[in-house]
Amino acid sequence: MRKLLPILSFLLILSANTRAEEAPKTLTPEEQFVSDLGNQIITLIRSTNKLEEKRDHFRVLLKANFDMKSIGKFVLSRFWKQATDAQKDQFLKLFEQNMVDTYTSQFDQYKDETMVVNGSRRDEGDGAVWVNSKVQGPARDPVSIRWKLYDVNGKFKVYDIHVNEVSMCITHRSEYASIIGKHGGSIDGLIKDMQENKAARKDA
Amino acid sequence: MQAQRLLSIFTLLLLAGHAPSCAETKRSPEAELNSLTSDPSDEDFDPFESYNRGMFEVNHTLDTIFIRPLAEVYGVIPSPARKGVRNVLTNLRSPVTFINDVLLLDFPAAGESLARTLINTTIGFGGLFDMATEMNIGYHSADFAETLAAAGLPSGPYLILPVLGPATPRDILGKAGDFGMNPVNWVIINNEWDEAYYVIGGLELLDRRKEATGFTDEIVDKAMDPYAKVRDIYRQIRVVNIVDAEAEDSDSPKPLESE
Repeated sequence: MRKLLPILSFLLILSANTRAEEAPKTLTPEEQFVSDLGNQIITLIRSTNKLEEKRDHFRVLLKANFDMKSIGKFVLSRFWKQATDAQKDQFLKLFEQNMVDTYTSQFDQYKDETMVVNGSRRDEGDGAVWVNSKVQGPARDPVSIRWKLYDVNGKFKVYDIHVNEVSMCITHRSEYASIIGKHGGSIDGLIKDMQENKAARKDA
Repeated sequence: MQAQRLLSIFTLLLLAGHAPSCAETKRSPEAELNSLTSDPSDEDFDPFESYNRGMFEVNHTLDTIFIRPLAEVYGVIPSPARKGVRNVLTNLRSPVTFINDVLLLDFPAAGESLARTLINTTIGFGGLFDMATEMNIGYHSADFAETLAAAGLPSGPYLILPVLGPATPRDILGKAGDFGMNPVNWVIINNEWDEAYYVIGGLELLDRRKEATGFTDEIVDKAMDPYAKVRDIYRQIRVVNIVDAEAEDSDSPKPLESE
């Protein structure tokens, strides 16, 4: 027993140490939200459901957790003000469909990935919270994903995602601005292209 | 700090015989950010759009019939082996990171890149294993284009180069600088190991192309205007590398005011 004591205490210290290193720090509410959302998406990716079911499920997640209207407004930037309500509605529907199709079609490549939340930062200016996360898997370099959240009436919503520091919203904005420019400033031109693009995705 | 940076770079440019006028060097990171994140269809950034779109198509065709299939073949190699190749390539570039850290007067970063070079070259078997990251000295990048940007050199117009893809004159100058300052290249030149260039260049190309299959391909392939999308991604990556990553966070969606 006397011999055992130092060994036991040594093991105790060791385990306490490793616990201090490995125990996840308590997450802030925002970090917890992103962690939960990430896990829901990963569960969806790994599920054996049909692609069509996954799409529907992803759409539900998207609608519940992303402020699609605010994102849509940002993405249309100065054209949002020019758009009629009907055009806005049409655009938002197509934009949402585009998001769902683009992300779900890549699901198969991310079956073995995991997501870890590592820290967050509050923008004192306007209250946005940026949550950092890392997606890693065996096949590729880790991908950093930063999520921009606001607390809207007591519920967190996602407003932008930066994948390896590239903002998905800014990228969409540039692309749509370019297409509207191509159509001589016509929002209907963009909507028409988006409908054709949607049809093309379905065929693929 | 800014003044110090400018001074060190100014000295360097003088040595290189490229002394810019003082007026040109007065360019804050904010100005850089504004110039890069201004309206995407900004003709200031892409005045050669019609040429660029043509070359983009050429590159896309080359990629489809040639480079991408090669990268797919390269992808057959098990990923630990490819990881080793990437580690070696990264290690060969690490002196460039160190030198640019010093030029940017970022001494903590310089210390890290020097330590990484020494650790990975020795106990990492010539860079094959990234032992430095295991020891919590993580990778960061720094290149001469960033150094030039910090010195106030404007990026110049967006250009699509044959095969090499998106660039700006500042990036081209930066690449030339990176090449010239890397002692690895001096060794290769002194020993006339021409094959080494082809091997390193070829592996770099395959490694990068392989990494871009998947997410990047998907984003570009499904895009309605792939050219605009690639241009924007390129622009954003350069902004992040040059300006503090968080500086651009204000340009993003916010909750709607009640309408």
